Amino acid sequence: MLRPVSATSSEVTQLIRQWQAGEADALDRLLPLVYADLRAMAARLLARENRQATLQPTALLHDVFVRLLGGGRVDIESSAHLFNTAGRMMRHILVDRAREAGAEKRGGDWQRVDLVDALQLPIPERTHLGLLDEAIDELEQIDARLARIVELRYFVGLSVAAIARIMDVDKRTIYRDWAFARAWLGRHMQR
Amino acid sequence: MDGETLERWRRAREAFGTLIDLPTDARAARLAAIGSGDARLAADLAALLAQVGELVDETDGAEAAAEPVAQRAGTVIGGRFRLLGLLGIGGMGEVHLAERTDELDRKVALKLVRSDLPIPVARARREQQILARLSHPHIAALVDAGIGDAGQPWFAMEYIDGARITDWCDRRSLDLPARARLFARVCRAVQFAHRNLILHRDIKPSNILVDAEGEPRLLDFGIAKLLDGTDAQQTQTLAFTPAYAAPEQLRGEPATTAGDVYQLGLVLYELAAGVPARRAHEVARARADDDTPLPRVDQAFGALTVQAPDGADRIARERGLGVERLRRSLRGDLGRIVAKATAADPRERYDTAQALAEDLERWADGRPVAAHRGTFAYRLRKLVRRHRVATAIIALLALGLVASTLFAVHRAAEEREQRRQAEAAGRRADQQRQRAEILLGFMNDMFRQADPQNADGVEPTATQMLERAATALEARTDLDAVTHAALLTQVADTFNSLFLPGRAADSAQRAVNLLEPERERRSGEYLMSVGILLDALQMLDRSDAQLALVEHALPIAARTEEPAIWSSLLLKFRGAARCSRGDFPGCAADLREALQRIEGAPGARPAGVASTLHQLAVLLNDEGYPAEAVRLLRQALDALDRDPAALRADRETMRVNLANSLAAQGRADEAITLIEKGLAEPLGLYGSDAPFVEAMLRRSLARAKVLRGEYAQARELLAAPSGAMPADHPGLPRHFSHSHLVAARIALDLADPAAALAEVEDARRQVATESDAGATLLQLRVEIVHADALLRSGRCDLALPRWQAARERLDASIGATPSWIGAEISDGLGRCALAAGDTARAESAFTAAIAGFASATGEASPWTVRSRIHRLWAQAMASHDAALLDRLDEARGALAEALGGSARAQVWQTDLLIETLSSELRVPLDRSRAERADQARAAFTALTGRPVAFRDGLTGFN
Repeated sequence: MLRPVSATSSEVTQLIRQWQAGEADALDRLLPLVYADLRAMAARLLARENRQATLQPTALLHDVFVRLLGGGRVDIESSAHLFNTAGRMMRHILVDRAREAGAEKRGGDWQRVDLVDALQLPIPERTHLGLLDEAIDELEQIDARLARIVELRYFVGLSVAAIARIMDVDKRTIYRDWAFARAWLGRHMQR
Repeated sequence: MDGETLERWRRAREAFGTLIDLPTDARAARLAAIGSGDARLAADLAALLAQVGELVDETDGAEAAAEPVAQRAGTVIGGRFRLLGLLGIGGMGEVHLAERTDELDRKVALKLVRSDLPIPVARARREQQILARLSHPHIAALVDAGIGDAGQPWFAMEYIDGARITDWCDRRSLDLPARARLFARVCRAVQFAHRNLILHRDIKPSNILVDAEGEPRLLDFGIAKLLDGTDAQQTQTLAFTPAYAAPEQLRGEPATTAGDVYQLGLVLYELAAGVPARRAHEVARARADDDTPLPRVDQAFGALTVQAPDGADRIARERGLGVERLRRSLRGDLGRIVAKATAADPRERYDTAQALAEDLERWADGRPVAAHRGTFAYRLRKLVRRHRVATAIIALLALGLVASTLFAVHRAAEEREQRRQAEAAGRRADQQRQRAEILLGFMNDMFRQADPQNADGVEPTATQMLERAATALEARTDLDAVTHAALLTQVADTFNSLFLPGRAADSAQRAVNLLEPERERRSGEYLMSVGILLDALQMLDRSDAQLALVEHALPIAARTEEPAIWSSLLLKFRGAARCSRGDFPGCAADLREALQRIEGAPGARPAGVASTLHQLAVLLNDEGYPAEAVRLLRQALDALDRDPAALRADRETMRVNLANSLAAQGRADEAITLIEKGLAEPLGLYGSDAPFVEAMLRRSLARAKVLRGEYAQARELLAAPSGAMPADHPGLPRHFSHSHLVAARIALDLADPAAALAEVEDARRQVATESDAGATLLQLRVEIVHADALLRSGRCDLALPRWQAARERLDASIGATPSWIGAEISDGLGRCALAAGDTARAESAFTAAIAGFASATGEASPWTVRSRIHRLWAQAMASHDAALLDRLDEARGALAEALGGSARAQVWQTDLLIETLSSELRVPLDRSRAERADQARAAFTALTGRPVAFRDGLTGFN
């Protein structure tokens, strides 16, 4: 459900308020906007020749983060910070949704959250988001960067190259990390 | 995780990183080395490696691959091939240039497959044999193959000295059609392999080379298949390049020809837009309502023009175009071909690689492509996004198969109710949403089963599909009554719009039964089902059932949110039922009441108003008030124009009726224009009714042509074969009856009363089988024509009682209001009176006729003028006043004007009348009158082949 990033900030503000007031619908409409912005930023990052780490988030994203991360001033110092936060946020939101949706069904079957489909996130089919969530927590213990990579890859949908650029780390390294993370997750979640 | 485990995994991570970069053999060795020092670590690593078959990331392509291994040159493989040098590394392994040890000049490309899974030797050999048999000019031949020492297969293929297809096209700046044709050859090669049951599964630009002769050559056929595990359940996909994999492949589903087609589509994508599909995502975000994960080629290229204008420029030049031209070309059919090949759902792609080839060739030739059609499922799925019943309904309306104006009316109420429920309890809202999803999913499945390649129009597929849906519905036990009823109603409505009222009635009746117990709580849904059932019953002419149902449902209308609209609808159907039973006053009263209620009601859709107007107009026309019918129909058509949800079929039916009414007023030219327009439209939207509608249109046209004196054309139209009309079509007898009447009129015009009598007999016979009283009006017309024919045969003695009986029946049916039929009867009685010499009686009869015709068809209509001529004739016979001849001249002019020309039977008859009267009145024949009379005689002789004299008045018009 990607929409062009032409939402006015008032619309977004409205959506955020609605969401906080408990309207699940509002999140449906908000997330794609956020997501689209994130992807756009990542694309711009990739297109840059210089590796300037700082990137001004759009007003939209700033708004969203400020509110979603619970009031107060949030200083986004770097794009890394922004994206890491975003990755974590998306992960929590999506996992929560899956949990809710699952709770309603008989037997607590988790279903692929429709938002995952709508945002075309590259999470493999039949992935149990709850297990994935726990697994990422464990992966984080091995190395926090691994967890961030997985979040950015699965929950923000960024490419390895984009992730590398964001983290300002050599692409080959990220590639290896991603390979390891996937292998580890694959093995860990098979049980 | 405890500290020890953590440490273990950290070490594993380090080692893993280095292992990943090594080629297979070295990796195995390294692993072994590790194992000798730390068995646990080695085990962990092995477990990890087992997870990872292909390490090329989706978006990074070959960049992340391992370093090339240079030390292989000189090795002999399989005892007969010597490696000469590395050509490249792909997802599957290394490709070396090699030569045969026994023939130094024969070069091959030798592929050493790297795989983490051991392949059963027997299977490998079997596959190799299959591949060896694949002999095609565009497929690189397999020269030899074997199993290496470590159990890994190797393949020696024809060495193709060529460039990648993408590079080759770019270097020659091949334009798009040339690329399409070249690629079509590639597709046909793939088709050949498919026919031999071999899948490629790793189609990508680097596997398609173009040799020095410009022939494309496909590499690596079937190798991917060989290397895949035997296990279809394995979710990890193996030996192919994920960047070029089809979505279902990535999900681990077994590969199919559709997967190959997808991959072909991706290569085509790159050939067309210059942007590899995998990069397309980064270049252009997918649009909100696009169902494919892949942006359209024109979008991808368009985004590139913004982000990297130089690159875009170059790409365009490599296709011999400017940037804008290229983008436009990509937006057209070529873009659609790509989209169809790369559809996310394999069922929506081209069935075969050959189909893709053919479409490409068609495109290159400038012919229409197949990729255009079959977008039901696409469009419907897009609408799944928003979970509201209203959206589901919009989806159906958009597809144009759901008729109901009723539905349109109901939606407002439904929406309001929806909102209320949503506010009341979230749980209810969820139910509604679920229902919408079920509904939409249901329709989705229905449409998905339809053959998207169907080029013959919507109808056959829709019918089959609906029937399947109806059957499927019966089997469902999981639905609550309301949802079940909603689905049944949808199906019924669609059947109605396809003119299959029998099936519609079945489904609708079941829906009504389901909702019966809850009809007061769920009044809106109940009445909607009732409305659809009534629609079907009307088409089936089951007026008893209609009346009963309306009586039962009327009280419920009061319980709804819009009682005026619902009661209006029910009254409309009751009126129609009454008409069927011959209760015309009751019918008219109900219809007028319905009209009044709906015109005042807020929220009434114009289509609902139009439908009521239409119903009333039809009645009025039948009764013989075409002028008013015309007025109402024009209003109705205007209303329909204002309603975007209006079904075209309704509009067309109204137009036909308007044409008939215009013809009944004598406005032949206008009628003809309308009808010809109607005939020019594709009649597919009438579904199975199309042959019937066409026949009716022809008959109307014939009638109008008769008015213009175009007898030959009229006869042709009447004689046209009835096509594929089912013999039991309910409207057939009346249609035939009308047709015979038109033929009878032609015969009378051409002074052949005997033939007319025969036609009348046929007309009567057709309508005598009609049991319902609604045929009354038609039977009356038959009687009138019959009487006219008798009069012209000189049998007033037989004609008179007929007319009198007809008059009595008419009074009983529609009352004494002056009408066309009544006027026609009067005119006939007048002529008989005149033939008997009773000029006084004749004059008063004609006066009544004039009044009737004037009110029903207009002052200047042919009928009115004709009766005036008759009256003048009667007056002349009575008074012998020569001045009346002049008035007759005037009237003759008025008649010619009314008929749109003087080359008309009635005008000639008038000329002959004037001549006869002249001599009767002993007035010397004026020159011009004599000329006209001569011409009239000549014209008749030409038309009929025999001399004709004036007698017994002007023939009527139908």
